[in-house]
Amino acid sequence: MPYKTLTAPAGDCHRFTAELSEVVDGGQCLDQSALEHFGSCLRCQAELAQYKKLLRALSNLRGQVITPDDFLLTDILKALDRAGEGWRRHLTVLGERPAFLRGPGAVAATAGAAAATAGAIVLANRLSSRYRLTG
Amino acid sequence: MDSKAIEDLVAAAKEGSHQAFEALVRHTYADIYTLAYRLVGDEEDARDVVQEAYLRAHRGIKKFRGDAQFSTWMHRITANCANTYLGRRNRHRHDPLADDVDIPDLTPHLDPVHQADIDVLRTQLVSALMQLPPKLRSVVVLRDIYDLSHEAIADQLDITESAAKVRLHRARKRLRERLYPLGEERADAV
Ligand SMILES: [Zn+2]
Repeated sequence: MPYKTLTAPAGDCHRFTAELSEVVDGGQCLDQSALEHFGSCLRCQAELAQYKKLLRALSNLRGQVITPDDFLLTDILKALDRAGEGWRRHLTVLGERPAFLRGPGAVAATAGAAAATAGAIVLANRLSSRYRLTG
Repeated sequence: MDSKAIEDLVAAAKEGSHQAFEALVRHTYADIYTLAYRLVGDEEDARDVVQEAYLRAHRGIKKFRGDAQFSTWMHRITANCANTYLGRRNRHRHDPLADDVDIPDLTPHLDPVHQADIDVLRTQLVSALMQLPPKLRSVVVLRDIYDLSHEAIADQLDITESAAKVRLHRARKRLRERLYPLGEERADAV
């Protein structure tokens, strides 16, 4: 009976290494020779373990949100304002102050910055009416 | 906000409630910005993509069938906007969009065995992601972080499903090689 090594011949790895990233997805499309190689090759198994770690780490990034500055929300709403007649007319109270109006000093700081921008008047009108209604 | 509340807002937005749509924007914009940033790799460009994505969503909300989550629908729209944006940007700048671009290895010292700290790995991963060419990065971000199907990715990036898969495997391979360099070990062993 021939001696059976646990590790497949290293030269074979190059034939299959490109498929490892598929294996980590389930590897439904793999042929028998690839499956046999991965089953017996420690190097490919080590790489496979790394792919699994990589995918876990990527998946964990889903929970990480990059907090944009407060002006982004304003910009989005302004863009919607510009794009749609009626959007501004229909804006009503949401029971929540815009994030940039929260906290001490935020109103003055925001007003100062907003005054320097081209859309300041539209924005101020919209926000003041909402702020008043929310009040 | 629970999923029922979001469904209610979506239903109201489909009926034409701007108030409901604004609430959806408020609830999702940080997440959408994060995706846009990961796709285009630039804060200012990401802001433009986010605005465009919400404009498209607002125009198309009536067609949203509700068989997917609102967030997933927004991810698809954002992916499409980012793809369009990157195409335009590439015509004006000379971004390294080619798949075979050489990525300088800025972290040759990295050895995850000795740097087991998950924060370090995460930082390295984010850095490695950002150094991928946008074509490769888009696919791995959408598939492995945001769990979009190959079909949806191909659809939004305007490529075939098999091209999406090829890009995904290339992207994963590059990330793995950067995070867990094995080359020398493998060469020694041969
Ligand atoms: Zn092998």
